[in-house]
Amino acid sequence: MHQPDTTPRHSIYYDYRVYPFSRPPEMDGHSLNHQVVIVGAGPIGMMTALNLAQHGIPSVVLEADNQVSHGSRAIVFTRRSMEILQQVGVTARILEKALPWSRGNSFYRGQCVFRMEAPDTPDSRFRPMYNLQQQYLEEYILDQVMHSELIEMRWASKVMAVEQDDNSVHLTVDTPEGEYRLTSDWLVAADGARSFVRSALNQRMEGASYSGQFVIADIRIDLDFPTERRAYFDPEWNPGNTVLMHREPDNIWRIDYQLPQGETPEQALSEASLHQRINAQLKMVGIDAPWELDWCSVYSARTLTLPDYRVGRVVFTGDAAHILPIFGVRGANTGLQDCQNLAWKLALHIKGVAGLDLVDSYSSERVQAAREIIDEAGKSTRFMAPPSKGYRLLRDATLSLSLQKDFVGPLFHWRTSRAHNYPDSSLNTAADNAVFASGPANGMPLENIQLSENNYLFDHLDNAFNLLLFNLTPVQLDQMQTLQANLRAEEIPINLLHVTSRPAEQAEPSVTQLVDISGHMRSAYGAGSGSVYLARPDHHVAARWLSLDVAAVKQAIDNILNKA
Amino acid sequence: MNSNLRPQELESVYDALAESLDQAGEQDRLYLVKVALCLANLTGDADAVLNSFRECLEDL
Repeated sequence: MHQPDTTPRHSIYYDYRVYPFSRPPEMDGHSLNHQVVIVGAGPIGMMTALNLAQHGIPSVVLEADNQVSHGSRAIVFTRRSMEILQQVGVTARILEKALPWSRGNSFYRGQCVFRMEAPDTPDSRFRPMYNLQQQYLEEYILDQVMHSELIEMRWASKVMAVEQDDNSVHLTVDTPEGEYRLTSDWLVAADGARSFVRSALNQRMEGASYSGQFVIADIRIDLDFPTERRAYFDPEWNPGNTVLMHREPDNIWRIDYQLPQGETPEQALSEASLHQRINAQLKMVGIDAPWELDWCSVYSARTLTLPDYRVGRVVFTGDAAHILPIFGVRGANTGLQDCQNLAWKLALHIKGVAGLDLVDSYSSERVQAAREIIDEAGKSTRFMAPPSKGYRLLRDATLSLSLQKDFVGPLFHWRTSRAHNYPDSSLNTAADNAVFASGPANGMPLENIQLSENNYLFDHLDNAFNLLLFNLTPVQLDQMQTLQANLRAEEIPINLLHVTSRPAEQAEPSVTQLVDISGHMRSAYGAGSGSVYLARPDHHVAARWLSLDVAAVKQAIDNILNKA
Repeated sequence: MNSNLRPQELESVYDALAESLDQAGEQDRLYLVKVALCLANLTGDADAVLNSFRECLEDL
């Protein structure tokens, strides 16, 4: 029987709560057929459930453990992730706790040799990056999950076997009260880097593993440094290696350093070794203050992805689908983009309004994104932890040059997780895409716009096809409402947003009116009167027209749903 | 445009590089890589640089 430890995990700043196992109906002889079962209650699994629930799709979430994440793990969330989290309503609590930042510093021989500044804009509700421990993020998402009647959390439920046929996936689940069988139309594997579902289905990942190993240690200490990322190259106490420092809420600092060649994780995590190295790092940055360890772990840099994220009726997402180096905050931030891409497609397929091709476009778009990330992350990893003599020489030469030559700055590879674009997606319709002078092109996520104080475009987007309509005539608006009614009758979710410089006194009830008297949004989107953007439920643009053609809009939606 | 060095200039480069390498001592490899990166940046011609990298791998 699966008996996870029921003692709350130890932490010097986070109060863990143990969630009880509750006996599912299947153990009392009830045979239920679920539409979606999600394995893994990490951020990606729970976000998938919330996103599906917004489309009215119920799900069961199985989690082998009975508490949120052990240790801080993913601590940096990008603006794009915040937009994804906003869609399911969990950003308010994140903003109360998380630390926003936009700058990174690279130090070498006591000098700041490169300073990265992530672009910020008043048009975004969110700053470029936020630091927050994963436990908090999971807690906030979980709170939202608990409020949903469509999501059933099953704690202390460990998947022991996975089988599938043409119509269903069958799971054997072990619990504190014994095993039971569970059947579902679809299974979403969000069970992390060591995914059991992935090995049970014999799925092999492709890519490379780097030899370097790294310690992550979270300490509580009073430090005066601003919330900026700090990278120390070739420090005297750890020659040739790299040390990273990051501020987290609750006065916690993440210290991340590479292990000397040949050292085992056990040796590296020994109390004596941790104390000696953390003290050496603090001494190097001129700090002599008491500190206390919260959590530590060892990781290795790997760049791996499954070649296909759908295997029959099982769909992989997050770290279960790919393993990416943490340099560049590419783990959870990539997973959040995955599950946002997946949920609406799976939901519309389950509802019978879209073909299987739509679900497969999740795989093609996100495998492509993972390959781009692997390429970018590989560059960061090769700089942080050079894998060969040649790479080490080039890295050392770059560090040496950086003391005097600015041109080597970009070689520090500060690139971080970004919103991925799908310019070649089969879901796109060319229409007038190429002739727009500005604005997000096909495949790109919509760009947020500040409409007025504390009022942004993304606040008005639904988990639906969002149609941005610029200064339509009353007749055109009427035509679009007819289209909306027809599509809604087919259970296709449509949100009409009328961006207007002449706000109507009495707005149409089924249309969200966005007032743009200054024309700021019109100009950012390269739009004239009658222009239209069609964005998918995950905010990515699928088509845009300089002037409205209702039949063409309908056709572009049909193309996405594979009904053309 | 022929941007090759004149023989006299090439000779000066030859001598200066030799002496700089001696001066770099045990760090001569690191020194050469710094020089290569600086010169690559100065040319502003990535194709020509990559071509030189390929050519110089021959006959080692």
